[in-house]
Parts: sequence; C-alpha cells; structure tokens
Amino acid sequence: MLKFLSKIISVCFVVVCFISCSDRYKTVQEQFVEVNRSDLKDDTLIKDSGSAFYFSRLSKPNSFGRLYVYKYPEDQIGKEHYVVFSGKTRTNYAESNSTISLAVHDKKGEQLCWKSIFLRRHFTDINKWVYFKDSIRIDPKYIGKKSATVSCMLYLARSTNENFDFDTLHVTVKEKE
Amino acid sequence: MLKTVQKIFHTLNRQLGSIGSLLEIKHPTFKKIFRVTFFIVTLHLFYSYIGVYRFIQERPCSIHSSAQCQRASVALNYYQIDMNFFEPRILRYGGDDGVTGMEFPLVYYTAALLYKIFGFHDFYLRIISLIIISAGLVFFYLLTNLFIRNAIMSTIIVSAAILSPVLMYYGANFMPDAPSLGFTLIGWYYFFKFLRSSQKRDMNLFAVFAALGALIKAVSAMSFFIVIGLLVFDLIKKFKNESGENVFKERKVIIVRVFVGMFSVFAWYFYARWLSGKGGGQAFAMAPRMIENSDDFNYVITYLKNWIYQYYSYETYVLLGAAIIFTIIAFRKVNKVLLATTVLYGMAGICYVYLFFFQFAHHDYYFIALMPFAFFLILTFTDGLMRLAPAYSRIIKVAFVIILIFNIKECALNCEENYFFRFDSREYLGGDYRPYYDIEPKLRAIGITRKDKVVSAFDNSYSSSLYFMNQPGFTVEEVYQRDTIMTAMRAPGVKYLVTNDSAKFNRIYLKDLANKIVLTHRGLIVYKIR
Repeated sequence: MLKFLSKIISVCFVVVCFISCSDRYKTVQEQFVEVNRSDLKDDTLIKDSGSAFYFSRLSKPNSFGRLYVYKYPEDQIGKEHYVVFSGKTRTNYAESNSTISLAVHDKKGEQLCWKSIFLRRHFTDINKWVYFKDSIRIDPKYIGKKSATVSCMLYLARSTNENFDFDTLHVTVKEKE
Repeated sequence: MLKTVQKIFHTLNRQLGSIGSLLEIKHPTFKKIFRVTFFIVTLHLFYSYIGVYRFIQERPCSIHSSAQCQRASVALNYYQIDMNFFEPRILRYGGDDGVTGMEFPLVYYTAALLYKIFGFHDFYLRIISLIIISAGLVFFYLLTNLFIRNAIMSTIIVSAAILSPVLMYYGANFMPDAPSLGFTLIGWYYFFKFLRSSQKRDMNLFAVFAALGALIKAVSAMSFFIVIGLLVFDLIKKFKNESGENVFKERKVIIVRVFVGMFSVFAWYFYARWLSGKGGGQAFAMAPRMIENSDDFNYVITYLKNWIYQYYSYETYVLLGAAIIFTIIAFRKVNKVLLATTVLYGMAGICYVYLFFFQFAHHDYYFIALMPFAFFLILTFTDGLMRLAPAYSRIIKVAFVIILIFNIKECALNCEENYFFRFDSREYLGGDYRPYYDIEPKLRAIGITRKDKVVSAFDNSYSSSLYFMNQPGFTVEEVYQRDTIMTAMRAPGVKYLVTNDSAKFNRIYLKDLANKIVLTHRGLIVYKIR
C-alpha cells in the first residue's frame, strides 16, 4: 500500500508542476464608450426612428468615429495585452469596410502599430443591428520599453456609400499574467 | 577529498536503491495496469498543458487548413452522400461527382460512422486521430518497457521523444500522418514482442498495424523494408544471442506477413491511382517530389530554417546528438536489433527525404514519418546507457533522468507556445474562413440544396470555403484567372456564385449580376446565376 501511495504522490507532484504553469488573464482596464453629443469625432449622432435611442453614424467623406484612449501602464510594459471590444453595430453595405482600429503611440507621438478588426464578418444581414465581440492582441514588441498610449477608434475605410452605425462600445483590456 | 565524494556517492546509491525497492509493485497484473495508467495520465497531462483539449473542437484551421478541409470533406461526403468505402469523394469537383483516389480512408470512414450515430461535428475526426496516435505512443511506451523494465524511466524517455510541436499539432487533427505513425508504432511493439514470444499472433498483428500505417500514409511502408533489412542482417549473422544462434527463428512467418502487408498497400495505392484517373480528381499528392536543381535546394532550405525548431525543440536536438555520439562510441554494448532498426530507419529516412525533399518546404507534417528514427535512437541510447549503468552506479541513471526531466520541461514549454501560436494566429496562417462557418442554414433557407453546385470566389485554398459552406462545386483562387472563372461559371450543374469580393470578380466577369443577388452574409454575396 505504501509503495503504491508513493507512486501516486509522485504522479500528483508532476500534475502540480504542469498545472501550475497554465496561463491566466486579468482585466486591467474597462470602459463603456457611450454615444453622446460631447464626444463626437467625424461621426453624426442620430436618433433611431423605431425606438428612443441614439446611435453614431459614420459615412464618407468622414472616417473616424468614437474614440477611447488609454495609457499603457508602465508597470505592465513587456506584458502581452488583449483589447476586447463588444457592442452593437449595423451597416447598409454587404462588403462593409467598417473597422474598429487600434493605434499605439509612444511618448513623442510616433505611431508604433496600427491594427484593425474588420467588422464585415460580423454583419450577418445588412441594415440589421448585430451584436459582436472581437479582440486585438498587442504584442509587447509594439510597446517597446517606454510608456505608450493606445487609441481605439471606429474607422471607416474606402466605402463611399456605406453607412456605418454604432451603438455603445465596451472596451476591456486584458493582460496575460 | 576523493574518498569523501566516493562516500557521498555510495550513500546516495544506497538511498536510491531503497527508494527503488520501495516503489516496486510485485503483482504482475497490477504492475501492467499501473504502468499503462501512469503513462496515459502523463500523456493526458502533456495534452492538457500544451492545449490540445482547449482547441479540440476547432474546425479545420491554421497551417494547412486547406489539406485538412480536403480530408474532412471526405468524411462529410461519406456521411451525407454515400457510405461506399471504396468511393471517397471531396467537395471540389474535378470530374463528375468528386470521387477521387486517396490514402486508405479508414479514419474518415470511422468519423462518418460517428457522424451517423452522434451527428456531424469536426471534433470526432480530431478525437479519432488523437486516440490512434495516443494508442501508438502507449504501445511504443510498452516497447520501451520491454527493454528498460522501469515504468517511470520508460515514461520519461518516451516523453522526451514525443514532445515535438509538429506531432502535437497534427495529433488531434485531420491529416493522416499522425494516425499513420500511431499504427506503425503499434506494429513495432508487436514485432519486438514476436521476437521474444515467437507467437504467430504477434507477427500477424505487426503485419496488420504496419499495413494500416502504410495504407494511411504510403511512406510508413518503410517499416516493412526495415524488417526485411533486419532479416538480412540476421542472415549474415549480425545478431547473435548468448548461445550464438540467430535472433529471428521464424523467418518464413516474418517474410509471409511482410509480403502480405506490402501487397495490400500496393494494391490500395494502385486502386487509388486508377480511381483518380477515372474520376479526373487528383486532389491528393501520392507521388514523390524531388528537387531538380540547386535553386530548388536553396528554396527548401530557406523554409526548413523556419520549420526546424517546430519539428523538435533545440533541447531535443542536443539529446539526439548526444544519443548518436554515445551510440557510435558504445555500439558494441547496445542492443544490436535496436541499433540495426535505428540505422535502417535512418537510411530509409534519408531515401524518403531525397524523394520528397521539395515537399518539406511547405509541409511541416512530412516530418512525422521520420519520427520513428528519433524514437528508436532514444530507445537504443537509453537501453545502452542502462546496460552500462550497473557497472558504474545508479547515479548515472539519476543524472540521466534529471537531464531528461529538464529537457522535457523546456520541450513542453516550446510545444505549448507553438500550439497556442498556431491556433491563436489561425486566420493569418490558414486564411480567414469564418464568414463561411454559419452560412449553410441560410443557404438551405433560400432553397439551395446540398447537391447544388456553386462557384466560390475567391478562395486560395483547394476547397476550404466549399467545406465550410457544405456545398460541392469549384473554387477560384485570388489571382485573376479569367479562364478558370469562365470554365467554372459554364460548368454543367453550377447554379450559384458565392463571392467575398464582388468588385474584384466584376473586373474579370463583366456580366452584370447586381439583380441576381439572393443572399448577403458576413461580407459574402450569393448570386443565382442559372
């Protein structure tokens, strides 16, 4: 019995060694980017005709919409971040060019990276509101060793006749421990 | 000073001896159950740590998603169209109905049976592949145990051999390489068991499993040639037991089984070639692809530099290097049959690499067929070390185990990182087919049946978009192929066009299709063209 127990203990030891190495993610920032008149960029505030809520609309020649900026915390430099976006959106164009884009700038304002989520694949139907959730990974190499600023925005590329509508955007920044 | 060190060594040796006897299980059945359970638990832990279970429900994706979809479509067609085992078909129609010659579709047929019972899910194909390769590893562990006779030691050395990022990735996958390796390893276990037991049953099982391995992936037929090589070595008296007799006593039994196995393999591939020619669908590469000049060689080497640490981690290469050096130095002490198997595998591997070298540029999974060489090399090395160890001390064993444990830790970490990268970057590595994942119910809702042929533009893979839509037809690649598009659009039976870039398509196909739109979905537009 004692012999068998010894083997079980050794197996458990190996289990603990391996399980203790698994990844964890923790939320370091969280923000609701609401649609309101004060934060308008290139977008227009529109009241939905069917119900009593407002949404923001981007259409050419305007390109940039809602914006959320956060400072990459200095104590987390060198760590991998995921920026998770969720919200409600709509388009009138089947091959939509609407994106949620993310730019990382250093202290001097120099752009370190630009990444986008193409919302096209989230639009199951045109002219219908859809809920989506997607993420962008920020590799530590884009941050460098100094502090950086991350700007998340709605961005409409190319399409000339597209109406890109957006309701509240939820942004969560997760850090890989 | 020397005396003190010697004293410490002796004390350690005594202590280790007492621990060893403490861990000994006497009852043979318990012993066997414990050994296998211990290895399976270890294997499960590796899979769990690396992330195999986390991604086991994924659809074909990431590196070589195209080849994965081709194989998965065979299982899907068995399930939905025809369960005739001898008529495997894909969704891209080269000939009339997608029937094509291919490797022995046992895995895909089994998956289709599971689809019939439980309903369709890609998970079943992944799990079948994982079970077969895991069974192969368990049997290789048992083979190791035949020589090493220590459950923990065998587990450690098999773990050191199997921790390859490529093997882990293709373990729970749609490709035939890992199941082929699994069957081959089971075959080797029975072959070595036969050498000890001389029971025909063991040799029969070797023939069955080695043939299955070769049927699933032709290159695994090298195990038959290796057995013939071993027979030749035995005939020229290279292996002798203590009494000077030949090791292979039942040569006739071996020869008959080997030739029956080889015949079945040749017969299948002959049939597969005939089927490809008849149906006009040559979807699966079944012929060698050598390099023809130095430019080809440099081209392959450029890509191999990217793959090299995905085949094995740096630490394993060091281990394999040490194993080769040790085996060369102590070749008189190591087991001759194991050594010959390793050497023959090495030689067969060189021939294989020569014949298929061009494929190594883009196909990381071609390496899997070479892995038995590494397995046997590590086994030969460990067996030799264990034979030498009693003459010196248990300390050698312990030092060896400690080195291997650190090796395994580093390799497991590399495997985990690589596995995560392959799935995390699946769209970048294998193309973004997510819009096609859930279009099928919408296609059915507007009256498009499973038998209606479609043209899918643009799709750089062979048939991935067709597989995800579950629609037979043709694909048009991203480059401007006017002829391909015109041929596909005029092909008999084609009723619909699915495009992910209508502007690009309209530049080549000038007919106005704006009033033919029947569906839009996640950036895709479906037109009814006939």
